[in-house]
Amino acid sequence: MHRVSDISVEADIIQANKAIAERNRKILEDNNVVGFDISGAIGSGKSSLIEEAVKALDLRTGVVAGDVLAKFDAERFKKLGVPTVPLNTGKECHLDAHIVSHALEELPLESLDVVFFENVGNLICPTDFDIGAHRRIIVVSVTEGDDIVEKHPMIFLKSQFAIINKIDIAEFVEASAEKMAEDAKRINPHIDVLLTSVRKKVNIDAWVEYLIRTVKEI
Amino acid sequence: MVAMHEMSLALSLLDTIEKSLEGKNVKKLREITIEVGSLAMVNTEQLSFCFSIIAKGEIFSDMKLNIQKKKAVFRCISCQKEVSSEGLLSNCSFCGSNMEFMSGDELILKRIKAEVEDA
Repeated sequence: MHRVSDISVEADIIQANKAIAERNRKILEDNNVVGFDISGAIGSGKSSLIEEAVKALDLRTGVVAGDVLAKFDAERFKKLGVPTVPLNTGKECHLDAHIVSHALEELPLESLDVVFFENVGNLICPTDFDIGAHRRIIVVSVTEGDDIVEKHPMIFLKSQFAIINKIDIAEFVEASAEKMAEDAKRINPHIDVLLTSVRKKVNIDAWVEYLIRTVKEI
Repeated sequence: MVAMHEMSLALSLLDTIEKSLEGKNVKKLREITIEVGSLAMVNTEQLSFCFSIIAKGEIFSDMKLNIQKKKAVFRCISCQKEVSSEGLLSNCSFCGSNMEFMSGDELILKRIKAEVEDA
């Protein structure tokens, strides 16, 4: 015999990922390491901004380079002489806490101060997946069009710092970096926004200062 | 592996269901109810499709996946009024100030209706 039973569950489906993310954060903190999730659009300058930070920071840095095929970005970071773990996500469109937990096993965390997690270039899928970093930085550039921020509001809501990159070529692609910054602030009044150009070295010092300030805060 | 995060979420849903059924002697599932916040980055049709691919076996053979949408909630940073909305709200309809996102990106397994074998 059987009966029909109504089971009330009320369970967060993304909880499994969140729990692993919390564990990743704890592992970082146990080693006095601050983690930055660098998310953003394809070709927006995520790798270049990490390179600039690695070169300028007077801190011991490591990089987890996540990409569909991660070796290209990973090679760039290895050239800088910092511990780098390439994470091939295959067809997956985002990093999740589980795949990041394995990358942490491969990094010499005890001899690092900062780890950059370069997420897969995507403004949608990473949104729901906390990977265990302390801050998420969202990077877009003017070449994606100056409506890119308002088209992808959720990732700006879930980030603490936004970078609008490649501002030196804004006029050639007829984009307003200021509008993009305003959109980000309108969507998330708590987000800090920085306009940068890696190529022309605009506000790279402010980017590095933000990182130093955040490391001290955490 | 399917190139979309709905497959990851479908796998997590399956995992959450299996954990909820542990020790409950369930023979067959009738209905699974999940609640999706209107600002969760989830395509519910893709989620249903992905779930139907991975939820195999007799226990799932007659199961219906019931997806309920829940509106997001925003709070004004000045007057503190809360407003629910299907989409994003940037300005308070009462005082015009910026709105702060409070909830609406959740994905919750609410209820399971199942045939339970009597001991």
